[in-house]
Amino acid sequence: MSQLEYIIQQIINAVSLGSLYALVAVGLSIVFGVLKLTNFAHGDVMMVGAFTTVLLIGIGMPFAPAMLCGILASAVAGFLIERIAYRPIRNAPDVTRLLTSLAVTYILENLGILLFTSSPRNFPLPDILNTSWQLSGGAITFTNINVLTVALTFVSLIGLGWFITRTTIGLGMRAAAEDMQAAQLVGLNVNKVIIIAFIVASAYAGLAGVLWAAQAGVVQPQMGFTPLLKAFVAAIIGGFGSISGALLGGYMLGALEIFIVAFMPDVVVPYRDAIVFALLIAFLLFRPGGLMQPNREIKL
Amino acid sequence: MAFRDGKSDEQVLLKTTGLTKAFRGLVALRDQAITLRAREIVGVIGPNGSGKSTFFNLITGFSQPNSGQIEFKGRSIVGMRTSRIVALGIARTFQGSRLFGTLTVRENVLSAAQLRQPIGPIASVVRGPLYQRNVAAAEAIATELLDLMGLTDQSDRLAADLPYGDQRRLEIARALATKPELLLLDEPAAGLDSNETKVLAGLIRTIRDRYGVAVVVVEHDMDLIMGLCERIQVLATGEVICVGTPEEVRNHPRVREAYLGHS
Repeated sequence: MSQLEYIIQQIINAVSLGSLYALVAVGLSIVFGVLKLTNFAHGDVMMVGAFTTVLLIGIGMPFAPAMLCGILASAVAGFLIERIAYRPIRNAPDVTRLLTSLAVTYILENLGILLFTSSPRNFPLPDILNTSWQLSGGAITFTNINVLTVALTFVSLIGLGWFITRTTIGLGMRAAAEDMQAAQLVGLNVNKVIIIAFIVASAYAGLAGVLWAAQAGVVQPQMGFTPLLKAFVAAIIGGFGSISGALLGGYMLGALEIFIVAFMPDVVVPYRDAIVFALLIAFLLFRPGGLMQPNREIKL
Repeated sequence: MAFRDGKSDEQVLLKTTGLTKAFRGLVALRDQAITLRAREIVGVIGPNGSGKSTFFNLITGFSQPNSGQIEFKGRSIVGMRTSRIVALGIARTFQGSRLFGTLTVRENVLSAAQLRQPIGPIASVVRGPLYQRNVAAAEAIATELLDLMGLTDQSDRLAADLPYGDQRRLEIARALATKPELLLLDEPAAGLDSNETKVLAGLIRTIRDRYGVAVVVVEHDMDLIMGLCERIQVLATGEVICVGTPEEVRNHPRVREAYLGHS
């Protein structure tokens, strides 16, 4: 296997992993943008989508409609979380809001454990998505689920870009993210803007959850934790609250992790996560606004 | 674009009575009362901390009075949420700039124009004929107001990149896009030179004449207030010390004492 093929393979891996990070980070950023809230429950909204999909496939539904229902279930979960948990404390101090979002996380995870136990379940991926492609006599391989992940990420993010920049609701969301008071003064119903932001972000969480679980091959109630942490790092690197920043951060983080695993000496590889989180700390210390908003301060 | 027919000029638009607001025991506004008719231009002046901005915050629902009434077009708006008050016909600008900096100049105005041309989340994706009509109407409002404020050439720039004077006018354009009957301007001349202030006074008169809005101007700039306003209310440490025409206010002994320094 030539060096070039190895590099191409790693680029494919990086784009595939980065797509997942980007999808999760974008959802986090949408909520942070309008609400200035770090929504820890975002990972659990992913779990809701993944579990719904697995259960529906289990009762015989084909993959595509099951995934759509999973996304829908996540959107509904996001709607309920905003309505029940976050709206009553919207104007509370940051610490209250942060703790509430942690509480929602624990409630959802424990609900998942009660319903499904904490042991992992198999993700019944249809054969067609498991089919792998071999190029250059097997030196470069990828499966259809990789292709699907990247394709859906691209399509959905282009859709999001269109929604944010070309629709009236998107305009309202950008205005509210910029200045909530001024947004009210131009007559925007803040409740409506926030609930739509939650629904959109949660639908992205659902999509990300299904794809994440499909790639991992398993679902379990705590599956949202790792992607949430990684997406958080990605969002900070890019510039928290900025959607393009989340996208950039997601792909950069994917590339970095793959780079560490593929090109660093074996002794470094086990420290992959340590390196990633060291990077997070570095950004928080020296460039808290991330790559996209160099002058901005963030608070959690 | 005519917001409404002009026959009800004499009708009372805004009426506040006994308006009182205290923050942690510190009285910001005490027993304030004002009656405002359609198409009037009224000034509210007073030194810093005299309660001018508090007055605006109470009317727009950003804070709630401890006591007193606020009636707009005959109905109480105390306790109403801001977006509803705006929908009823009150718009305001802020002290300093509170534009949506990362939106373009045109988008800033459009964000407000959508109030009168509502487009739901589904319509904004499906895009039927009603959507097309509403978008066209909102675009028309934006085009007209940007033209009025001399900002047409800057339409596609980010609001944050505009020079300060243009930002102030954009903020007025954005407020007007909600089609108010009452426009509250919070220190519109702050940071403008005397020439820009003169242009601004002309613009405010044009706005009143063309759209039939009543305007309340909170200001430090005496030249603007005296030249522009038909009536002036003077506040000092939260209390109304006099109301009258510019001439009356200028000669009022308590005003000379409290605001202009001394007699």
